[in-house]
Amino acid sequence: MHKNLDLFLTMAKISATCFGGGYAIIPLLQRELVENKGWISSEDLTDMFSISQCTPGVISVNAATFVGTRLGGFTGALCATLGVITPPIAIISLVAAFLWPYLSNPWVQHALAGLQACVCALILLSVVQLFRSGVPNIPSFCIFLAAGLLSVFTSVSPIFLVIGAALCGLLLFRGRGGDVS
Amino acid sequence: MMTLLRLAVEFFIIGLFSVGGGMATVPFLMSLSERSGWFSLQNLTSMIAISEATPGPIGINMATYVGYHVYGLLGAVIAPVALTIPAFLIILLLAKIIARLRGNARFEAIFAAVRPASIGLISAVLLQLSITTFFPQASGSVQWKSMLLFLVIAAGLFTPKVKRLPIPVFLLFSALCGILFQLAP
Repeated sequence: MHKNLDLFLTMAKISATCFGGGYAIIPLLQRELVENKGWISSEDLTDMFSISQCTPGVISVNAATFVGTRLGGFTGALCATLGVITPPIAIISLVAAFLWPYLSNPWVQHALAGLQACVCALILLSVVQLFRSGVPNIPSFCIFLAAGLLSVFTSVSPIFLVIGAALCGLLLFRGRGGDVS
Repeated sequence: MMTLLRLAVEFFIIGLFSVGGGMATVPFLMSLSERSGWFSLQNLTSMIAISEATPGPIGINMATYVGYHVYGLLGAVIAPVALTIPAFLIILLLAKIIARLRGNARFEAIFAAVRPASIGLISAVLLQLSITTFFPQASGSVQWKSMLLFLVIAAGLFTPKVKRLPIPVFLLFSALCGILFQLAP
């Protein structure tokens, strides 16, 4: 099979079988890209993952672009990334189109109210998981608290809060080298 | 046409500033809902639920759903593509030097601060969503049943054996409880 097509199909398969996104995709990438295809090493995957935690964007897109670039330069990266986003676009469009006419149905309303409580619990879970690795010391806890409080009590755009945090990082953490995380 | 262009720009910016995976886009989507009026907070929670219940990365799923909501099928393609472009370009540029970048002091310093900020933003969303879920203003009462369901699911998600269940199981259970106990306010 042509390499670029293979990249597209492999990433599409991973994307279409992964529930939950973010960290949930790591074991799937390990199995497909490292064990089945042998395209990248475990160390590559670990490096890629730590970079993903420190760069903006969706983690699986980062992974796809990384693997694609390694294997086929720009075209490879493009094929792999399109592979990741194609199944969700198709699936969500179908779900949205199907769900639309029923949104005001009382049964659907009750089901969505149940889902809403579940979503709160799922976000709590992500916060706890992210907190464990992302907030290791007092200065980072202060940044966490400041961003959260500013977001709740002011209408400052999250964009400026992220830029502000980046500047704080340069001032507070520079010189500590790799110890910060 | 202007709506489509704005959709693309908004999602490009979200892709550029949300650090830490799918949930990190939620604070930006909340701010988008306030500024554009394209969808309500209520819509946003059902979007999150559907994104969690269907396969695929959460960030891409939510972008597709919002895009579809705002501009039909064309929006459903444009929003996730725009969300993807910043990550794509950044990794394309970094792919060759990725191993060396880890030790870079300035790079690590910036993201050691951006990560907790991003988690702070997600926590703020959690607080706001909880308030609309448990104390909806329309009904003026406390949703005790929703609160109980939240506690049950949260307990499950943090219990060693139960938490290994796939996320869609939790979602299905919650939807069924919603119907059985008439959770809608």
